[in-house]
Amino acid sequence: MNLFWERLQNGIFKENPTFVLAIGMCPTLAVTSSATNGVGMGLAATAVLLGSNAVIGALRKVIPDEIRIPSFIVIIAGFVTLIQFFMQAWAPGLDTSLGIFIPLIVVNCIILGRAEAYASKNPVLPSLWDALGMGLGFTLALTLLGSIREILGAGSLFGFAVLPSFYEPALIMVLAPGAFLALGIVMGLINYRALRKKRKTLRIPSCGSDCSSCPSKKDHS
Amino acid sequence: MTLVAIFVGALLTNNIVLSKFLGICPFLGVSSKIKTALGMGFAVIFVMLLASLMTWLLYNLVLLPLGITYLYTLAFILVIAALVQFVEIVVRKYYPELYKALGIFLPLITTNCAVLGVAVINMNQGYSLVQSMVHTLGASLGFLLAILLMAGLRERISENPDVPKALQGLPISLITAALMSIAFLGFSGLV
Amino acid sequence: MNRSFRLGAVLLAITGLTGLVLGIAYKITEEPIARSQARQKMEAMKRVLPLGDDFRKITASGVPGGEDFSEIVEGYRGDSLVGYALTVRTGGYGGVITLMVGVGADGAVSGVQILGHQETPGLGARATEPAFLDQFRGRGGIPFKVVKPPSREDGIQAITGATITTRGVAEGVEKVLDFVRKNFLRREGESQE
Repeated sequence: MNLFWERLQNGIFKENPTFVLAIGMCPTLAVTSSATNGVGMGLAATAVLLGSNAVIGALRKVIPDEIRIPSFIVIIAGFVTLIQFFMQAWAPGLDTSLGIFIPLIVVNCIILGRAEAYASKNPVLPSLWDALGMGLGFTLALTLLGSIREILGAGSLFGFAVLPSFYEPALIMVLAPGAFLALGIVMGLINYRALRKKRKTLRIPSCGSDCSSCPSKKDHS
Repeated sequence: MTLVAIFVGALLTNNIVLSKFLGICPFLGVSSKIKTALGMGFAVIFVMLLASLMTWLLYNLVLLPLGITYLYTLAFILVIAALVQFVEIVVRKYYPELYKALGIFLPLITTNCAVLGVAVINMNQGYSLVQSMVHTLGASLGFLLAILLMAGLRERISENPDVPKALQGLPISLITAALMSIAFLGFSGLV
Repeated sequence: MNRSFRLGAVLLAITGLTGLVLGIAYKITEEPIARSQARQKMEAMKRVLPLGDDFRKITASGVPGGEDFSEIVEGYRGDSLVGYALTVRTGGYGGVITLMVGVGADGAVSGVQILGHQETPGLGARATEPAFLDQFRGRGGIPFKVVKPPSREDGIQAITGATITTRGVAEGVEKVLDFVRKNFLRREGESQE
């Protein structure tokens, strides 16, 4: 059980994919115009992550090293398509709001990155916990950003008006610039807090565009 | 929509990075120097054009007639991955100078959400082959434009000692991107 | 060569297996997806033709201008025709707006629904709000006049900061009204308010 909590804590705080590792940025910026969308995307990605990490963890000894990336991609694409079916059938509203970012989950660095960094080197159960931790970390990050943008930009949270009517919403927050702004400022605040605590900044510089090159702090081989 | 409208739309009004949020990872990660940004931009244009062509053909000549369009996610990403792999091999062997300039970026482009994203948009909008290619050209040039502008700005910012410590690195880049995005909002209504 | 062969075979196996799983999943979800889509359609149609409870699709082939409408539906309550619901595409600000417009048997608009759009949230996207769309109900006098709020003139109050979207929607509704009046509701000397 210790591993369970450790993986959970890792994904949500220490190696939070959004605020610490800075991966999977595309959906982070695109779908956080409202808290509901943020949660929806987070959960969808978590579902795919759970599936792919589990399968890859199970097949890790069978997949030859040279073709591991294409194999991972196929497996991930499979789970993404399953999620697409699921949403079209039982959550069509979410399907419309998340739009093309649902199929784009397949190139979400978080999923491929975890497959490469963790699931390919660990058995099924730890891989599942890792997926859960990372997925939750991602979902929480998206929900936070979505909430900030929705409250400031539309005066509501999850669709319910939460600010008094005299508040004129800062529309820019739900438009494109608001996404960059919200994320930049939140990251800045996190850095500020880390610096205050005299720790050297816990920000790992952006991984560039290569999912596999993302450094991972700990490795439970 | 006219071809010009599609082109200008993808390039400016609905700029693929600053408005549609595709290709953010390379946009933030490979934009610290103008030279690397240029390399990445051209590599993206190259791959995107080929990828859009292949995915369009795949969708319209294979998936649609066979009635398996629901497999598009799997099919598209496989095509893109294979394409990139193939291009890398060819370029490395036959155009070594080109490989030196673009080569390292090629494998990174497989997971670039812009490439898959544009292919999916082409499919969703039901564009003809010509419309798809025009759209892709506009989008990839839009990416080049955005990443070049960002690199130019970042080179200046990195030399500036006044940036608060907490904002150094990614935060200030994001805020810069926010300002760029606001500027691009000015193109709204152009088409 | 043996190695490459084996690699290719493994990749093919994984892809094939995935494809198989997806094929099965597709069969399983095919019906729920179809049902969900049908339900959404039904909901949209009820919102534009509130009096109807049975909707039948008809084709407008042979009717000039009929190709502009992606779907034409007759609405019935029991056996009596209550109106028509047409799906039309119109140009918005950020792209194409897909509308469903209901025209009652009296030749006036019975409801408008936005089925798809690419408008800006907070601006053009507000076109989906009932407060905006309800303005069209009961109107019959075309062409519509779009007025900037807060105007006291009789016309369609534009969404603040989204006049182009408003005009696009208004044009779409006009197109439907015009088509229905000309082809389905042949009434002589009908007065237009």
